Amino acid sequence: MVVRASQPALTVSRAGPSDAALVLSARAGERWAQEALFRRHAMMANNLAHRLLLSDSDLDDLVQDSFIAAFESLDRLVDPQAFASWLCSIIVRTAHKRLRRKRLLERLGLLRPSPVDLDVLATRSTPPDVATELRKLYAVVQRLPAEERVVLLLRRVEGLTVGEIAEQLGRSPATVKRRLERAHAKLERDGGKS
Amino acid sequence: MSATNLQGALKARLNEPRLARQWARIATRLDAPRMRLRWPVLALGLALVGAVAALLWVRGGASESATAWDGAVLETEGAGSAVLLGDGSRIELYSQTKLSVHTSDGETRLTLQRGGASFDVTHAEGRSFRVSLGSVDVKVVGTRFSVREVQLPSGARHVEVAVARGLVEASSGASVARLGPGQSWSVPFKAVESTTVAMKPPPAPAAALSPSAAPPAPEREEPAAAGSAAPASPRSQDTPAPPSADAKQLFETANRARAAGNASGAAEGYRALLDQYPRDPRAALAAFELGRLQMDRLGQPAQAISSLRRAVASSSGGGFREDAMARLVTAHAATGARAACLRARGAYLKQYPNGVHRTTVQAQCGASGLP
Repeated sequence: MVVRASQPALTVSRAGPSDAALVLSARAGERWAQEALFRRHAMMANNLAHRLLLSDSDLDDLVQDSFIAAFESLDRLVDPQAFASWLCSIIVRTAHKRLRRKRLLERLGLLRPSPVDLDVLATRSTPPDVATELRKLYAVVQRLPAEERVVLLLRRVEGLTVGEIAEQLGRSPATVKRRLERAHAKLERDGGKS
Repeated sequence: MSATNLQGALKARLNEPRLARQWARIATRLDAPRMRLRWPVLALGLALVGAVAALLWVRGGASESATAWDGAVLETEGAGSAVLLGDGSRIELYSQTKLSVHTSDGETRLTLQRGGASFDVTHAEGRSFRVSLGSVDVKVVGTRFSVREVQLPSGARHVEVAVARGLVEASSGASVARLGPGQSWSVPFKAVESTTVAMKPPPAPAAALSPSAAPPAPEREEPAAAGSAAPASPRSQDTPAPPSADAKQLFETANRARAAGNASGAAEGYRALLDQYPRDPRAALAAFELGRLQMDRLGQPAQAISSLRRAVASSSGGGFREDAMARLVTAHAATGARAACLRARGAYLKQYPNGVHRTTVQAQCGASGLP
């Protein structure tokens, strides 16, 4: 999979070894380089995972699984400098799988749905209009199937284009567009009820 | 409502202990698959040793002498393996290697049919130890060296001899060269018996590396015409230090040793590169790797300081300079030199106020020294 590092919100640039240099060392099994990559991208990874899951209890597992998946498949990363974007796509896909499994367990009655309390999860400095928008969005998102939930969040919260979402999820733009339309329709229909 | 506003409102609650916990779990889980992988390697090694032992037992009982290995064929597949001969000599076979052993009174002859191996040979009075690969024949009297077949990008095959300890006299046609510790030599692979390498008894190192002993210009890793006896020459301490195939070879050999867990062998290689090619572009990274080994594996924090200082001084700009500076703080802390530790810490934090290692560095040199 070739990924672009085109998302301003997800690209990190700072002093120190470049991501490419760290990826090359990490590929050789250098633990210090893996840790440096983790340290550098942990904040971004945690925040993205948090917005997709909205569950603090599942956050650590998702972040750890994603970094491990990334380190174990570094050889497949075509452009070492695009590590951040690549990691994001792994987080998105891993979150998607976890949400799908969670939804299935809920339907089977093996897991109780846990309501999202945005007042707890949102930062204290969130302006009232943003908090209202988030409550409306996540009230609907919680009821959406996993795939619609992920595409809607990537579009509305992460601000990705249809093409970028398709790339992150490894789906065609047409599939993403269909899911997005369905999710938007539900948002329009149910958004006012929350 | 813009996506940026929504993103800013939803941030994970993070702190250093939580990140440290996440990393600790990741590191633990990354180690787990390797542990699973070690078993097949161990099993292969045990199977190899077992097979050899069984062969020897069938042939008349295992013996402590190297003679008991006569006729044994050692073969590795995906992983390397090591065997210890009765006289204490150790052979580390690389992967995809086939080596046959022939011994008689006064001589142990090892024939590499493919691959390569490193040898740590115990000196035994009156016993000769020879290793051959293609046309190359190495006569040993107590040293540590490796012989392997190398395929260049052009497809040309070479035989490479690298010496870690002792002294080597190499010859190919009219060219004669002496190799000291850290030096290596390669010649085009030939099946004919025209090239020999003789290992001399371990002499004073200075004699081994004297300018008068220096051979002609170093051989480049360029494709050689098949069958030609290209003049072979070793690297010398007097050789100028532009980027060279020799420095690259030294660096790669050291990297391989490090990856194989041979810390002291890797350190020797990095040291040799630094001594012989101080201005090579790889020298800074070699100094950094040497420093890391000295700190983490060899328990030599004082020596690590010297290596890391060299790495910091040599690495311009990005790369691993930040890592080297952070390591330097840790190395000073390990030696208990608090003043030096504080200076190194101050230098790191000044240069990398938001550096990757900021938290680790700030925790060094004692709590009272924190800014």
